[in-house]
Amino acid sequence: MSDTVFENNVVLENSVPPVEELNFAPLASTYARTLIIESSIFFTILAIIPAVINWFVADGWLLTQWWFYVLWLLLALSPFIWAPMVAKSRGFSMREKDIHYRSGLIWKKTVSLPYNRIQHVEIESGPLERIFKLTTLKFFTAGGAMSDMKIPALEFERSSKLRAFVMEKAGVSEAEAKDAN
Amino acid sequence: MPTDTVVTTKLDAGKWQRLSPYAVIYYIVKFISAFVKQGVQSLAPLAAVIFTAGENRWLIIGFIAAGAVVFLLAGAVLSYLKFRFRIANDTFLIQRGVFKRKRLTLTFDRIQNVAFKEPIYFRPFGLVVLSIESAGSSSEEVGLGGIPRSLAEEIRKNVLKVKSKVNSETGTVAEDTLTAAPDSDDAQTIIKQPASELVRYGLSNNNIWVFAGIIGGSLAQVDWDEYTFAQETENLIVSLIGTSGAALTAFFISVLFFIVFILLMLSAIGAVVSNYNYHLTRHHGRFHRTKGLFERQEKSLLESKIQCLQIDQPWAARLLSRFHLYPKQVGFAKLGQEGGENDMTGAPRFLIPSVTNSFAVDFSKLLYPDFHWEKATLKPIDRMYTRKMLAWVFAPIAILPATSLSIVFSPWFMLILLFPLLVMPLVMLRRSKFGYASDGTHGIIRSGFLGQKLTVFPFFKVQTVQLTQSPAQRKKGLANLVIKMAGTSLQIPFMPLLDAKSWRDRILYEVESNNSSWM
Repeated sequence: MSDTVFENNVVLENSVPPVEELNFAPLASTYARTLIIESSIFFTILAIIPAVINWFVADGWLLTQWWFYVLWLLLALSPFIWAPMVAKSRGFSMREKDIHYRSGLIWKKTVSLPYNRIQHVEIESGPLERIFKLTTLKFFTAGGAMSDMKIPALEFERSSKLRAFVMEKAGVSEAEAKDAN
Repeated sequence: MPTDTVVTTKLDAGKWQRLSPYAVIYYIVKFISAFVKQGVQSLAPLAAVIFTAGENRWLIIGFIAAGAVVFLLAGAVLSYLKFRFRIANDTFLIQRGVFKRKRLTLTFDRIQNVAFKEPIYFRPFGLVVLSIESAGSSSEEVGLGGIPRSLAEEIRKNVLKVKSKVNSETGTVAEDTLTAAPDSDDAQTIIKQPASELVRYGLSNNNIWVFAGIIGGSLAQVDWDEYTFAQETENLIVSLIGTSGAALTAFFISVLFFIVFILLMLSAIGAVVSNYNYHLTRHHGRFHRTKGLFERQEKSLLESKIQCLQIDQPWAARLLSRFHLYPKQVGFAKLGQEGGENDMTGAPRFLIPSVTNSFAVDFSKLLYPDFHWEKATLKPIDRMYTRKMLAWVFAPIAILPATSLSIVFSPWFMLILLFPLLVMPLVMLRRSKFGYASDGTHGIIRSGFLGQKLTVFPFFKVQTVQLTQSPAQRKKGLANLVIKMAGTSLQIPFMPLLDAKSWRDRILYEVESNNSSWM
């Protein structure tokens, strides 16, 4: 038998087209901006913590060093370069029976999630997201405690529409299962 | 508090029921074991009080002991009094808690399993502990500790009856429709394990090495110089053997062997005690297992609920040419507590210990009749795995101590950089253990190191599929594939991209076109 066991199914006999042929829909155009703000805040906090510790331990020696400011500025400004690219690398694609989320600039990752495995869907909106009127859509399956797929930066109407569609699909496939038997 | 609470040996649907009064014993044992597991370190301040108490020491110890006993008894009696359960409208309701009332409502269709345990102290009274495994995410401990066996069997029958009704509605296989007790006469015996096999299991499971690691780790943390007996022991050893390096080395090696020997003995004894009289039967699409010396444990597992079959062979089991099988269930937290039965993620375990290769193959055929993985040659993963592991995992581990120690002490510490070369054969071994094969509807994935682990699973039980690629993998046409099932996550790293894609597409097709219930 050897490898033939595997070779049999390299050719797909029907339906499911390879995931690669999908067109991935982009996320909200304001997504890059939220990423920039988010990471600038993060890097600022990252700079404040050692500065405060240093203030107590070494009387603020760190604050007199020019390289500390340069380093912080480089980090805080770096999102202007990578955030648009990161935002562009993320996107999702829906088919009749499954949804796919692609992400990653360097390490590319695609998660595929069939509708009939979805347990529930959550719409989340953090403080920053609320300012930009964006939401994150989270899909949960029985595969783990964490969400299995997270689609960030969706306008509110878009995510509620998406959720309704997916929920209906998840329900429909269950009904189909009932009919089939 | 409902006034119509009844204590009966029969199921009284709709009424609140109590446990048997002997359940007090169950609570006492439970409290003591919980205390031993978690609370021993809280004795430290108590010990300090006792040691500094001087003359009144024994009086104080006596008071504390008496107080503890009273507290224990009161707690157990109150727990028993405050515990009641009710079965109505296909739901299981439990009220419990002494200080804080807790209510639990479980609908039957969320109950995965009902397991019985018969601890030795319940045997004279014909009582059992009934524990419930649910498909919920709650990890709260729920067990009916101390109800008559007849009542337990009635409850199980009730839960299962409704279950089969639910299943026929959602359209799972007809096999599920079962109302008879799993232990009725026409059950087919799958395997009975004699003590010799259980000893093999005890000797070859990995638990003792984990245990030895924990012990070793905690011993290493102790500052031995603080203890006079450590010094005394050292003096004794030196006086007996002398200071010759060779003799001392020989002594320590033999001590080490002795410790390993003791651990192996303990593990073997433990395996025999907990799996004594292991008996696995199959009946109407359901596996039923009984085992245990002091505590008889009964558990059933619905075949359709098995997510995948894990065939484990730790390195010691290779020497004995045995395998340990785990048909894996949905990996949510188990409601029916009691240690040992759960794996590290808290998922309930259903172990078939120490079986031969041919039994493993036959058992897999029982679950997946069309999948002939034993005839397939597993495909290896790419050699790039070894290079990348060394460059990205082991080299960074070596660089930091090598540079810092060289700067502070001696440049000789640069030799640490050879560490990746030393582990290279091991990484190569790990790579060679990875393997995969599929027949289009099932998959088998092998991984391991000194031992090996085979996971056999039907594609339609998968929840999600992930495909990742690093830049180097993209260049070489490779990918990592992560397959998530309910409670189990499988990985094939550095797999040819074509294979990874065809696995993904094939899995999605199976999940989306197969209407059988995965749960």
